[in-house]
Amino acid sequence: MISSKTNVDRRRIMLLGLLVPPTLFLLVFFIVPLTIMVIYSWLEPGLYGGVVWNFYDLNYGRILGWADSRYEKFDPVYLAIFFKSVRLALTTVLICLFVCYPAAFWISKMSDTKKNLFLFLVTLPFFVSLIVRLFAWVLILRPTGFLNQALMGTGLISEPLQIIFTDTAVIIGMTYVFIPFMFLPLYASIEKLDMSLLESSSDLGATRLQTFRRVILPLTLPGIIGGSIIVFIPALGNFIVPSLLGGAKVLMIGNLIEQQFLSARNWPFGSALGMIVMAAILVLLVYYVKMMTREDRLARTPSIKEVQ
Amino acid sequence: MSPILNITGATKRFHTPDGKSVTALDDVSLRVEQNEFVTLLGPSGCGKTTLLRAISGFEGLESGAIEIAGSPVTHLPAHKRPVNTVFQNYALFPHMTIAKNIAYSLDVADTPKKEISERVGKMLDIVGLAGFGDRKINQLSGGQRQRVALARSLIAQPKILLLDEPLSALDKNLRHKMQQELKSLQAEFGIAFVFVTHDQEEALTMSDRIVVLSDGKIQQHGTPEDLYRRPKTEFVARFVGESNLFEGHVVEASSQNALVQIGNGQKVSINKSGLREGVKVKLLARPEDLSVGHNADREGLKFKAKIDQLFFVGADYQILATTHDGLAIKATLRPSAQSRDPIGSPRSEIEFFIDKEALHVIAAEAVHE
Ligand SMILES: Nc1ncnc2c1ncn2[C@@H]1O[C@H](COP(=O)(O)OP(=O)(O)OP(=O)(O)O)[C@@H](O)[C@H]1O
Ligand SMILES: [Mg+2]
Repeated sequence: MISSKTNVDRRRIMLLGLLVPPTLFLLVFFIVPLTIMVIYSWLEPGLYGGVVWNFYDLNYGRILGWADSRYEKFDPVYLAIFFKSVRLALTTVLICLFVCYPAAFWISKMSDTKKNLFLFLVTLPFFVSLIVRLFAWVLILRPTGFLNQALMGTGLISEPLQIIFTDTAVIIGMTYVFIPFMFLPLYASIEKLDMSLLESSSDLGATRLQTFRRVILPLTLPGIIGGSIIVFIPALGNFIVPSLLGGAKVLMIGNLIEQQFLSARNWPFGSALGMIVMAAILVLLVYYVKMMTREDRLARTPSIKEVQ
Repeated sequence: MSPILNITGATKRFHTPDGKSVTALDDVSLRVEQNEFVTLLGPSGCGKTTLLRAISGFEGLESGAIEIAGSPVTHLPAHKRPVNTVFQNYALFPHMTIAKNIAYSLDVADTPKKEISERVGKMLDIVGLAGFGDRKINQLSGGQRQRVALARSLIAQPKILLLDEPLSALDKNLRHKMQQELKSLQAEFGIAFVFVTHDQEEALTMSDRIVVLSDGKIQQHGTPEDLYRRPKTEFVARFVGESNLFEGHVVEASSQNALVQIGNGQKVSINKSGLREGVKVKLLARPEDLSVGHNADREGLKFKAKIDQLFFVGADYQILATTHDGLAIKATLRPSAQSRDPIGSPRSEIEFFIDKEALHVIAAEAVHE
């Protein structure tokens, strides 16, 4: 008894030893900055940058609609930019999904060597700097760029299309950047899909469409949702793609936050904007976790009793 | 009455990536009657699954035709064929409850909700899973999954139920129980079952008719007794049941009888017509056809042998022995009710007798009558 007790104690200590470093790491590099952000968002901006240690709710007021006109002005443009960002991010998610879903299906049916090759190709872009890759898109999309040259060369258009510095360019860029993030979770869930289920579905009289709706879709839903969230979150806060491909014309919430921190030097307002983005994402994640745990609970209720 | 399933000249070749081709079905013709329990039996890779998949519509044929209940289905997609399959791994839908799994075929056919719940309830009763409807698949044992798969296929009221080694994942006791249940379900539903197995014992116990396949060809089909007593080829003789095969040739043939001389010089006259003089044949005797000792009034084959191994299996002794001229012999002997003495012991000498009536002739180069 005694020895087993000391054994348990020793395991506790080992567990503690394993858990302390990551906890400290998260505390220092995640919780602390986050706390700073939260506190700053409720402080008054200093006149020349920095903060004044006063409780101040007008950072949020500027965004959400209450403002004391002596200090700040409510401007609906911030919400407008937020919703536009949501729209661009959602569009990106949808396009990624429509591109990746069939591709993942197709690749999952290949032979192992081909599969590995394609998986490698999907991750290949990560080997090159994001900035460089986005500049390549600038070269492709600009009026004298490759795309317009090609289209004009074939006579499809007579004047160059204005793509660069539009929403379209931003969506193209973000889709390009985030496709691997959508692809991998989707592929993981599609690869796991048991093909004999598709046969048994059609054996039982289901058409292809019915099989897709009733079997394939629900079984790959975790991948779809996972991929969508993983794409949506960074897409919503993205500022590199809009600043390179959107130029001055397309402003996303990420650019706005970046400006507040770097050029306007209004940290409290930048923090407040950041909090709004985070709140939106948090709502999404909580919903996701709720749904997943419900699925889990469904999957393991009562105990198994052998029928005689 | 026309057969429920009529396959004529089904041929299917697979092309492997390295450019070779495998003939999985080679001119297979088969009729299955309404209400018949037919088993496809054969070694691994002989084309059983392929034949089943051709019937269910998952595998197209190079040539040949399939008719179900009199109407051609050769070019009908799987979801339109009036057959259902119980897959080897059951292929139950993991994201659905058991009731939903069973209801699947009715759901996709837009059957009214009320009718669905009635029929599913009845089906759950039949397969002994009443009260399990709300469980998920991963909360079931292997035998229970098996029943769900059966219920899910049967509720669609197929004209033929196809079963691809449905019992191979179950342990022996459960297997026997499910064999009986399958038989009684078949009787209850009154539809044809086409059952795949590579277990000859299972085939013998369950089937009305067995179709033995090898290399994509039908070797023989017939009742279990037919295949066991009157195999047409050595392959069938060896595959179905245990066998002793003695090589020999016909030395004298008349219209009724043939005199066969086997390797060790013994001659025996067999009651069989249609054999020509000089043909090579094999004589088949099942282990239980052998008896011990010498029976002077009966004609047959006698072997003096030495016992190699002897197993006591309750009712019988199973003996592996080698004759003095080197033939391996398998015998199953049942001690008589009067004497319960042991039949022999390893390394002891024994004399076997096989009555000529028990011998079955197989022409070495299968003569197809
Ligand atoms: N999709 C396929 N591609 C290539 N060859 C195949 C394919 N399916 C089956 N074969 C080949 O066809 C032959 C028959 O296969 P089949 O699956 O019908 O055998 P089986 O009798 O069911 O065997 P088992 O008892 O092992 O299940 C085998 O030689 C197999 O390798
Ligand atoms: Mg098979």
